[in-house]
Amino acid sequence: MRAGLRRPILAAGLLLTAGLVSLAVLSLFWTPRPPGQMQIAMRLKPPFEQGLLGTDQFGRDVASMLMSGAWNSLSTAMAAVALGASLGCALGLGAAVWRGWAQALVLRGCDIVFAVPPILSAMMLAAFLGPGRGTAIIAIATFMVPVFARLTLGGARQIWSRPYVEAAIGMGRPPWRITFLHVLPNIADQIIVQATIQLGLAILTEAGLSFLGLGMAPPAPTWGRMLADAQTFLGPAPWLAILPGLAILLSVLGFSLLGDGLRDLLDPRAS
Amino acid sequence: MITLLLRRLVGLVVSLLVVSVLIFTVMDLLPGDPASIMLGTSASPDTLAALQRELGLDRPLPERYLSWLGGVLTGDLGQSYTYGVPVAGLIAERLTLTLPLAAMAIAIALSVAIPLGVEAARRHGGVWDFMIGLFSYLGIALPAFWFGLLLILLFSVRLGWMPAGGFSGWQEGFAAGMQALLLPAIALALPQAAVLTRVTRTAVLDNIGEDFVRTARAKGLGEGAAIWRHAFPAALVPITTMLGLQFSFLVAGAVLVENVFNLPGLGRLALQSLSQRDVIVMQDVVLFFAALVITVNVLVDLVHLVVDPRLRREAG
Amino acid sequence: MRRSFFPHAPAFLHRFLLSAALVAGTAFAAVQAEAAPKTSVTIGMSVEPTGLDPTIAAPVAIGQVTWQNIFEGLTTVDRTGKVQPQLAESWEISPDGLTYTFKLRSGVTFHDGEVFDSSVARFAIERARGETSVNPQKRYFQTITSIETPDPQTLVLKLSKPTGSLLYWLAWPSSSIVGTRSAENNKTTPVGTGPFRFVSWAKGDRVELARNPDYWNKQGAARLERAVFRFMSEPQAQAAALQAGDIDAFPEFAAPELMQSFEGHERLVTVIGNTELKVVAGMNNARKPFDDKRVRQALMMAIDRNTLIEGAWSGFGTPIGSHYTPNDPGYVDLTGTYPYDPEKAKALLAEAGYGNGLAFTIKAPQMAYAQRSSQIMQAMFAEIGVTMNIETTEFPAKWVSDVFKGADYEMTIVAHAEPMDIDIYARDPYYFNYGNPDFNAVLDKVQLTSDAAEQAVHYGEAQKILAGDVPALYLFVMPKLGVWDRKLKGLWENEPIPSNVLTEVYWEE
Repeated sequence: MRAGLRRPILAAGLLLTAGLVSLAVLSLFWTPRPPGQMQIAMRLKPPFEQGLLGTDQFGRDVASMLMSGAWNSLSTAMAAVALGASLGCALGLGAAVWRGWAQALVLRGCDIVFAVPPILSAMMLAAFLGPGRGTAIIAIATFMVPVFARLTLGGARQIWSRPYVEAAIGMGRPPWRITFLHVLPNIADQIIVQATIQLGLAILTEAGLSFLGLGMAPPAPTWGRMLADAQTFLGPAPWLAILPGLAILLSVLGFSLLGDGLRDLLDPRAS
Repeated sequence: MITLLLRRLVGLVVSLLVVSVLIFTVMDLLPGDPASIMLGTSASPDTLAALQRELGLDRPLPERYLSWLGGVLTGDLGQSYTYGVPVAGLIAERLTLTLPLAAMAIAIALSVAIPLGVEAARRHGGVWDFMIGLFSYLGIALPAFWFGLLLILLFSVRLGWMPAGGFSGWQEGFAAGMQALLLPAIALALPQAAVLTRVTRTAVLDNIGEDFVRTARAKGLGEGAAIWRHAFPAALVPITTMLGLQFSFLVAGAVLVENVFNLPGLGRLALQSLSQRDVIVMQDVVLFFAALVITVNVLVDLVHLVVDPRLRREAG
Repeated sequence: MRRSFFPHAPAFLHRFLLSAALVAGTAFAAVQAEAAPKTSVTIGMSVEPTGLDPTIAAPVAIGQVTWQNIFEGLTTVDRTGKVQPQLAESWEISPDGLTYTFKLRSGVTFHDGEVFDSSVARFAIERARGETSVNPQKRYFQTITSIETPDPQTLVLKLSKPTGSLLYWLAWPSSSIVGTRSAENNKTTPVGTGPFRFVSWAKGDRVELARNPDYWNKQGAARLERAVFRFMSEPQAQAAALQAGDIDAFPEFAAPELMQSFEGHERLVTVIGNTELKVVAGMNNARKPFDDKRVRQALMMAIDRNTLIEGAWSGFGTPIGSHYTPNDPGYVDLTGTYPYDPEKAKALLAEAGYGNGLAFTIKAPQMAYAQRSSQIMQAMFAEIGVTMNIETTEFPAKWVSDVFKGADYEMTIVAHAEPMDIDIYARDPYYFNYGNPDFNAVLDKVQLTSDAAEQAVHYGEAQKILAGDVPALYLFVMPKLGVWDRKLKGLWENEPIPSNVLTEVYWEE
């Protein structure tokens, strides 16, 4: 019944994410101006008056900072999801093999992680490791682990109870081979869809952490810190607060559309 | 069912204990201690040692942990190092802001999500469904703290209708308090509303085709009435489940939103105690958050039993 | 007079709020408050104090609420920073500078009724200097060898060596005179001898004070009936609260970039005053390459202070050339010692053996001034081929343990808030690891005399040594950005010591 909507969702998701990725990659080679270059005399100029999107409190070019920020956000989010997904999947798959206490331990661990508000644990982590990209990646990944662990555990248990897998067990195949030959390929779709959606959430969380000053160190621009810096300039320079937020919104939107679009494409029944 | 609930409770208590040990250890390992923060940069080593003795910071970690734990079990949450007052009072003070804020956010989220979700289900596939779907996508992608900034920009900076933040407590009157909390509650509510809209739509849609709705229609109820009277109550189960799941996100979002709106809530207390290395306050607040999340989830389970006749039958 | 409570609200909202206020029963009080002259004031502060006893904890916010309002000292400083008598009426200093005899004021009582006399003064000083003292400035009392109380109105301090700054130090918040009965609980319920007494503290939000009707100094009694300190950290919220009239005064407004928005405001005025906040980028003088004076001098010359002030603090601030502010006695303008000159800086770096560049890390606290200054310095250093990485270091916890105590850093940046603290360069250990015997000798001379003019000469000499050696990069003094209601009079414009003295504050008709 959502057939009419399915393709537009996928297309919109692809469009937004492709735009984000290409801007991010482009920023590695070219930005209108060096994103860190200051021109104090040109501070707080509105869009079009100085550069395409105006300048910030140091006279830096906002458009260049947004582009460079796209790369920083995207790469941090991808690293975090990769780390969280691989750890979580490993735990989930392992728990499905051993069941019993291993499974209980993994589930209990997930509960513990979920019980503490993520921002607070991220702040403790940052106080411990010092703020920076590594800290942000670890903090975000920490909350991805239980998501993927639960997902793979649930999926894997279903697969393990299928007749042909039980036959394979009967043939004496080692569990790790069954996991890689039968279980993983069957739940890969779900993992990919989930990873795409989580990528959006990771960008959102990274922005939150940077907003609190726990993200990458300056001069590397991040959307979250741009927002935090903009907070006191809300009256005199509203574009500084509006633009990075729009960038975050569109990126997260892109990934969640893409994730849903992929889900519809890979597994039409799930929707 | 009861034993299942009990087992879950025991498991959760164990989780809480693990969380508390973790926090205590991590806070202890963090650079800086409350005594040196309180005494600043001119203090001599002997002054520092005197204060550490006074606060009991010279005792070994396990001893401090056990005495805190013993206190908590007997209902004493301990004393704040920095404020020098009982933590229970500090938390209670902050709750007069955080609870109404969360309640307002949930109320706003539900009052937006349910009509939109039901409407989208009723007209599924149509333009309204599409628009509402778009709204929910946007809402989920919206960073609450940024939305808060935009609300301040529009309603406080440009229009001057609302305070830009801060909360003077309820002593200035109910209206003033509600006014101070309105914008932050909206900022918190929107992403939740987006999620709940989607859940409502799906759940109502799942039930529209079921026999009892068809029967209701046959009995002469209008389409709208049939949905509201039959499909919607069944949809309450997934809605409350989602609300329970989202609760921890609501709490987490509150930390950032309190920051943007400068509200002296529980989240700010946690951040402050972290920066002052006030271990006891940090412990209590985090544990309180965790206990809150867990309680809400247990309550959601109970609501399921009440609302969903099928579950009740299974449980019985 | 404002005609409406909510001048900007549209009609429907206005009506709703008004009726709601009537229901809540506050409208009557509000009307009454508009008719009679205002006798209460709400002061905004960015940082909430942690505890309210300035004699047991360092944060300046504690003194900013309590000093001169709740607590008083044997001596005090006035608006201009001069030492004045307070609970001590007068004093005599023996010719060798080793005996201080104070004549104490009679008829002074604490807010709980305890009578102030020499035994109480002795108790307070003993508490600050004793074995179990947790006074943040305990070292101020270290030259005191004994305290004698020949009669209730006389206090005699015997010193081990001349201490020229003693009278000034006794004026500090951390030297406040506390009562024997109340000292223990001052952290939560402060009791002093001041013109205001403590009423309540809603943590995270406000502290309330009320006029002390039994104040000993009838001429100097408070003119306000009630004073409220409210705590708000976000500059945007501070500005809005000022505009809305929720807060009458923000003596230390946090965001210079928003000062412009108050210009031409019908009700608010902006007042730029002096402070003792010296923004200084300290270097670890014991560590390579900062052990080489030429490197430090080169870095100093790479910085254009005026541009830095413009970018970091919207142009509010005064450049400094050493660890001393223009309002301190004996100030010498030394900003010309190593003026901005990138070419010379490069040459000097090359001479020191760093012609091919240099890389190091600054541990910068998260505060706006530190982050912004670091980013600008980063760009300025890049011009002379120096790469500076910025590592944000949580203040106070991590900064105190890593930089301040551990001296595990290369460069850092922080605003030194304590007045007249040029002596920190003579302290050992201190995070700069400076250690210059000549400098120490000059500072010792300051304590040998209590003659202000002579002290000023020595202070001038000390400033010159620092400006030449550059143990830290001297950037600027932060101004006191005050914003308050036009009709509110009597607040201190300058800040010789971090404080919010409300004694002389009143509302003009």
